[in-house]
Amino acid sequence: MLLGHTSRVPAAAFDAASDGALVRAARLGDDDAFGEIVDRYGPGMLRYARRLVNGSDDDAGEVVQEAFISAWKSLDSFRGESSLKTWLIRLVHRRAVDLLRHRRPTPIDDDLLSRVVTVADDNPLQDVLDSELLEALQEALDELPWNQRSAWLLREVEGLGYDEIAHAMGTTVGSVRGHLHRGRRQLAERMARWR
Amino acid sequence: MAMSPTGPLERATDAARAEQPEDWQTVSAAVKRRVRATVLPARQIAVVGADGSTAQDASGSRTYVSSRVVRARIREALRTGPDLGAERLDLTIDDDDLLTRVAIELVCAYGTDVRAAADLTRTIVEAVVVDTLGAGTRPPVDITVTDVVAGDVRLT
Repeated sequence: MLLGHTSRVPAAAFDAASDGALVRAARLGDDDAFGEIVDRYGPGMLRYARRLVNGSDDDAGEVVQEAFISAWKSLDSFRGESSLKTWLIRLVHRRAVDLLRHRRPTPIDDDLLSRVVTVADDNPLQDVLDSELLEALQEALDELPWNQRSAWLLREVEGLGYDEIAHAMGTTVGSVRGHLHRGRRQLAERMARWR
Repeated sequence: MAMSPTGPLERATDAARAEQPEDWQTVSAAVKRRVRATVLPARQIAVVGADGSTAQDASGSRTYVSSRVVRARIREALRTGPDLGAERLDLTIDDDDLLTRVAIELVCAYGTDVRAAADLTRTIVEAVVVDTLGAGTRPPVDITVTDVVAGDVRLT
């Protein structure tokens, strides 16, 4: 094949580039390529961060910013052992852990610290708005131990596989299954009042 | 026909999945601003004249170019075609601030003659180096083809 070096690809064409091509360009210092990575995966990262850090907009924004700056500085260490999305989620997870550890004591890995749940016997209107449901979900998530909350969000909202969640959380698939099982059960109980 | 979720947790989960953060544009702009302001590690490289001297005038003045600039120029020069692209780029700079070696890991499209791709890359890099760091800068350029991809290397 003849090597055709005739035309440059404009930065706008990055939106059609694969993750691998974006990483290659960004690793060499191309901030337009990195900007495409930011826009491709940032909304999901922000959504995850917000639910993880008790619904705080400011904290979620800070976590996502720190995660991306860390990614920009350490792209050389990304070896493709996980997907780019999983690697970025892992950075969000770490930054969120750091932030919450500095802010207040949070149960990280002990489901025994989870509060005992009593199923509500009130009966609100069946047809609730999404925003009210989301508010209720956030309140329920806030009561979960950290790892249950994280595993549930990554599986149910962000759609990651068990092995990807394990990589993002720095734990084993077996632990992820355990966190998910307990998290699902407790969330279902806490949300039952909305039935 | 798809069943719609009926339980409160299922409905809340669906709403959470569909949620698009309203403040994303603000966060995105802040991230990009900070990325551009983040100074990545760099070294200064001395410009060398055709006579092999770093002195730019009779009093021995020197001109330096940041390795960040050289990397950006090489990156841009290599990102012009569908057949090859740089994966990694290492510049070796000695204690006298001279560029002594360039090492490039290269990705090629399937079907590309990799030896020709390496030769072309070397030619492009040598031209950029001379243009940026002076005619006296002639470091060896090591090329390693590390991967081949299907399609345009700039996109796949």
